[in-house]
Amino acid sequence: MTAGLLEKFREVILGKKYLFHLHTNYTDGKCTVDDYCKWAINRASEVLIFTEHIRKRPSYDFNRFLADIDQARICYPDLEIWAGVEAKVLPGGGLDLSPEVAARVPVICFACHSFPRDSKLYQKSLENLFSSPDWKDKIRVWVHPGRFLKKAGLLSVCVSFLQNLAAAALTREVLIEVNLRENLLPEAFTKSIPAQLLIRGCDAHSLEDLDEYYTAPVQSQL
Amino acid sequence: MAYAAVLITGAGAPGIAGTIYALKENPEKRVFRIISTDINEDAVGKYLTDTFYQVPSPEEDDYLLSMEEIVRDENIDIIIPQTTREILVLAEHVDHFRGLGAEVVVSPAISIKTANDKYLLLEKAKQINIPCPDYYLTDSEITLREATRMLGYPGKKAVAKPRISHGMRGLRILSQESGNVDQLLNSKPEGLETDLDSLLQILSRGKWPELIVSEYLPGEEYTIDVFRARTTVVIPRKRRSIRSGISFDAEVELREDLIEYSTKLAAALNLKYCFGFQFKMSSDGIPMLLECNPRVQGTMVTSVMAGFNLIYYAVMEALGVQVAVDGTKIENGTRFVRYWGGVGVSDGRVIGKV
Repeated sequence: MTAGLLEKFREVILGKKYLFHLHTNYTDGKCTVDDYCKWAINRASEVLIFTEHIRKRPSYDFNRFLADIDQARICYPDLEIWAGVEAKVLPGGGLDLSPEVAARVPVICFACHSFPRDSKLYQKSLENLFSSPDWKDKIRVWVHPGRFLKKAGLLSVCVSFLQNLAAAALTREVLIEVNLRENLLPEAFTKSIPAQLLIRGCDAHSLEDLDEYYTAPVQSQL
Repeated sequence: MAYAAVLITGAGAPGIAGTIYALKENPEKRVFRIISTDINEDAVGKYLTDTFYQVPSPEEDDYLLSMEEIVRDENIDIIIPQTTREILVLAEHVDHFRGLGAEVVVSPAISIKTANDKYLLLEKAKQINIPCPDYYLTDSEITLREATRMLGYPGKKAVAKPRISHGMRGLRILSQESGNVDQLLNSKPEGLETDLDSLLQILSRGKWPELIVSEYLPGEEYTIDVFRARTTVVIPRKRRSIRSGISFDAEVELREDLIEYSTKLAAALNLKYCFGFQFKMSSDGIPMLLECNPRVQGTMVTSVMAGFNLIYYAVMEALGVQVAVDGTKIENGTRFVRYWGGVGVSDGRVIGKV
């Protein structure tokens, strides 16, 4: 990890009004990079962090997505705009992400979307991923934590399992998302994580999603 | 605990029992929770799977919403679309379902559009030197008449089918001998054969469709099961008996020519997971491409029984688990013979299976 990059990112999430985890119409979102920027300007948000879905063979033109972000930086100089991707964690600890795409973004999100319901395999895969040298120069965020345990029906009984994984993430300076859309994490768990290592994620697919999160009391810091 | 929750669409499709068999009889003895859907409330898969949901037809606006609710409520990991009508809409929303935590066992949308369009498929095959029957795209009475003439009709039989269709819907064999006494007395009333004038009469009653008119191929028909991920496995099987378009007696026949053509075509179309092709032999004994099914095929279970469980491996690939297929032994000559089976139901409860 480039120390300066992570420090800068931490300053952003601790000190600025940011919107993290945004999906556009390049994948399953309903609006464009520009739509989000306009919304952010109107709501006095300062930072946008796009984390578009990606796979090894992208289903869309990733260059155009990055070009849209570059264009938005020119059109909205008052906004700080980050480009990132949300990649699927593979059993064993790999990522469904090409090195070429990874090289072009500072933020990589690790997501367990569909994963075998084998908790040992899940734990080992995440531990391998967190310690992998492949992505260590990036800002890494473990997004949708808790989703696997929910699917496996273990969320309410396995907070310690989640805490162990969080400890592995924190050791490797992997940030942990509090996903506002799913709202799965037990309070006891989030309270046990240092604030500077948590990041609130909108997991937004539309401006309506942002409206909803923005007005909800719990998200007053957005 | 179940290894994953798998949603199979088209619970009333002919292949439903085979797909369920493939998931249950997997080589690693994994246990899957199986959920099924269908547009019909009483599709037979309802009685064969753990949970069943009726869904709107895929052309309706609320289809995706309904599928999304099921994915959320049932914590679905994998979706296996079994019907042609559903694959494109699901392929166009793979990112959406991935965001919900479910992977769809389906090829890219652009591949499906080509594979489902019989004209584009044949054009693609021609480009890469895969044998095809002579064919013409028609869109009017004049072009249809001209195409049949070019194919030697009425002296020779010809085949007409919609450019885009599902199964045998819209298929007709054009034959001057149709409707004779011998046919009436000795053939089952499947209604595939007709003459050109009768077909023109029907078509003149509505909006004229685009039809592919092609050479009639008299030889044996083959279905090819293909698995394509990091590696490609191709299993041809002869259709020894076909009823209403469904293989009732299939036999694995590992023909090198069919394996080569299918491998090339699968790569050219960029299809993935499991899918299939159909070929038919010409009078000269050359296999000619008929069509592509870019989804789980109805009698794919034949390949499962021959030693390669491509439906299970497609699910594992979708879960991100790398499939090692080295050393897989496929038993040439394996047959799959269908019979009339069913389930006995009383008060919505299964009381017996045949």
